[in-house]
Amino acid sequence: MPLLEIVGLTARYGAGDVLKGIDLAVEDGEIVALLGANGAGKSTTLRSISGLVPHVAGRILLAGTALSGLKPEAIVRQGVAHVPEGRQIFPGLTVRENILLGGSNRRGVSRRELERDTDDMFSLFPDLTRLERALGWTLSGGQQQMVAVARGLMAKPRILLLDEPSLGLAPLIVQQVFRLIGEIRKRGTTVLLVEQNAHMALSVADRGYVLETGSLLITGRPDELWGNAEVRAAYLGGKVAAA
Amino acid sequence: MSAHAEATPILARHPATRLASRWRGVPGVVIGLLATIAFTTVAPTQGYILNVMMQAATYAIAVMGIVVVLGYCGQISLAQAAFFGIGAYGVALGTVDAGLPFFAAMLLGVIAAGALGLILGLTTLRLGGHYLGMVTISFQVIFTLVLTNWISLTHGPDGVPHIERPSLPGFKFLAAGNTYLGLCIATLVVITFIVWRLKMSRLGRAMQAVRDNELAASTTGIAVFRVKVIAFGLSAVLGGIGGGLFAGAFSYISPDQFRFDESIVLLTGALLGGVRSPFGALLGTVLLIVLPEMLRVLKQVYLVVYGAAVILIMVFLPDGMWGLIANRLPRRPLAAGPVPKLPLLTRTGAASDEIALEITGLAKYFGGLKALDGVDFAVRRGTVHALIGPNGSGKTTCINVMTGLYRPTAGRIALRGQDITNLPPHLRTRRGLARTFQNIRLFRGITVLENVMIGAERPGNDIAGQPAAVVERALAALDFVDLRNEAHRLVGTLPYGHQRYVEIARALAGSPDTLLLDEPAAGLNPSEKHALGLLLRRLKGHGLTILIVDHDMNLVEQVADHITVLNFGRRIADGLPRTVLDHPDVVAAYLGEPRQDAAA
Repeated sequence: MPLLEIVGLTARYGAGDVLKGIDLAVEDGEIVALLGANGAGKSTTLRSISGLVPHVAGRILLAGTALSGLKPEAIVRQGVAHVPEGRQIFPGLTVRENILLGGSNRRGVSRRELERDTDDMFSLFPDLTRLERALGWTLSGGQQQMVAVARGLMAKPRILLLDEPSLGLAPLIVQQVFRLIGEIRKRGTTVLLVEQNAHMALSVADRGYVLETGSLLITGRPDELWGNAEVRAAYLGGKVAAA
Repeated sequence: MSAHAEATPILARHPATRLASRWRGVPGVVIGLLATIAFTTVAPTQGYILNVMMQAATYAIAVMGIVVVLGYCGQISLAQAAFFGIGAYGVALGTVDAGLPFFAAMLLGVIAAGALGLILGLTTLRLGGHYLGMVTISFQVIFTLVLTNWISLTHGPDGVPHIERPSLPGFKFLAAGNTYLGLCIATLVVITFIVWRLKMSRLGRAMQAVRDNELAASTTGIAVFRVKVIAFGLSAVLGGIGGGLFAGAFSYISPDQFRFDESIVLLTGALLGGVRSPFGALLGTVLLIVLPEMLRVLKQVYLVVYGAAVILIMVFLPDGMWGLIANRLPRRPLAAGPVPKLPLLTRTGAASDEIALEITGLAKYFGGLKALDGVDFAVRRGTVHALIGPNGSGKTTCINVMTGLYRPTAGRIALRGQDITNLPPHLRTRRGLARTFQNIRLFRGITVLENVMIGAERPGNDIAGQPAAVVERALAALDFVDLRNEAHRLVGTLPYGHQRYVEIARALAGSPDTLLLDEPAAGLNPSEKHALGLLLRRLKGHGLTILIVDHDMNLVEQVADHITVLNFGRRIADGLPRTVLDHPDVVAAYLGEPRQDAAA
């Protein structure tokens, strides 16, 4: 049984369907990348899974348990953590407080353990160490992104939904983040990743899905996707394909 | 044939000009006025029903002021009943005590309301949100105290009786109840039209821009504070007009008709119907006045009902009742039609050694954090200059200081040789500096087209103040980024990447000389990034100077003529792309891996 299974997911903003019956499965321990153009429905898929967008049809199952109809906070408690696009960190709290709050869903865990896990995040993101007491609003865009990813990891989720983790990050940091995503998987967390940086995403992913205007276009292993000329031209970038 | 002569027939037949038509809505007003006259002949000349209708009409005029200040400009005013009262007392004291003719007294009252509105606005509008609400409540309370206690002027709590309706020769017919009601409704029709048209005017768009995003408004050339003060003054004037007519309608007024409670009633009317639309506010006010009168048994608890209405509507109908109706009205699609290309793309100008933008010794400290610590570089005219560096190295701070959002701790900024270090953001924009934002800052409550029109009508642009040309320029900018088909969507409903293009279009529509792009490629996939690179290359060779901040080295290599690298607020490299990207310090601090891999 896949850890996350989506069957016939249809979602709608206003008049038009943004998702038109998507089927998708993520096995335990996998890294799966969701690719596609702007407006294809990638972020909406993640938002549907975490309960931020109600879906009009279809089923979402986590290890066989239906998530449909649950509130976002209940879905987090089931083990789904969502790092949204655009960071959304708390501007009036310090970096440490922001990260610590990521563990809010973990019931019955001692404060000491949460603090220890927070320290762990600073060892994963050494660049944040000197900013531990800085307030959220004073961080640069890239630093905010690191805090958002760290906050998501603090939930110790079974599956981590990452929406554009590389957005606005320096190349050096992008490499670190993707190395980290590999690291996260080694620690037993499954990752569903939405990413525009297809090259980096497919370098860590086990499988990829390509969405096109709300429908699934193709799925496969990274080498299969690279091998598909149409996909390569449309979503992976002409220049990248030449390499 | 000159280019101008070619453009004229396109302008004349293009459906875009419909949006900018001088006569838009005028037939509606004429019909409204004729209907008012017809209604006057059957309206009651006295009695309860007449009173309710007069109250609804005069209140609705005051509510139009709330539409302007809160609905359009986003500034909360909880003192509309005070301005209403100033207009009413103007008529009352002017006619009864000073013996002035009705309309002269009303004019004085409206001027007094407007003047007090401007003074209140000028002194308080630098405050935001809650504070502004508090200050307007205080003003409202003080006003009521003055009315009650300055007995020698206001007659105190007893109020002013025997207010007469217009009685000058030629206006005597207005003294009758039905004709006076007609005057009130006719005024309401005209004011509703004016407020509706204001929304599509340059001033109205500026107000909405201020409401949706003050920072972006200032960097698109809008004088934010002035726009707020104008909205506040206009709102007070409309309150005064409503109040003046109210005094004539009821022939007796007293201080308790203009208390804080009534400000809440007026606000509720606006919110109930939909504060962003004059039609919604009209609908809401009429319902709010008429319904409680019909449910008189509720009189003891009518404030509870008003309060509950506000809460329920805020929760379930954030756009008010009009929002429900407007969403069901068919939207007339904007027919496709050719528009002239952006003038940016038709002018020529090769890269030159002339310096377009120069910073010297620029520093910005936030407390102990040195975000910029003495940075120098010069951007040459007609080139693409990239500013790169690790996260938190000061790139965005640099753009914020250049565009005037931050005041530098030290250093100097020069645009085409002129010192702009101390200019506010909108005056820099006026001189041809434009920017986009890392965290997209669009005006989310209005359409894609309106967003770009605000860019097109920046002061200093060649076409600012010519409505049809502004629409055309905005469409041309949308053509350039290939988003013409989305012109009438609310900008917040576009996908992230397209919103970035709208920001670029907004900047380009203003025909800037110098464009600062803060991470324009973030959120675009490789194919889209490549397209953006091509788009930026198309802009080169037309004399436009571009400073770009981005982390995508493929894009930077594709477009940049020159690169400056920052780290910890200092410049660590500056020069031609090849040299800079192979510089060992840059690789160590920023790129992490040799360039071939990063570009693979």
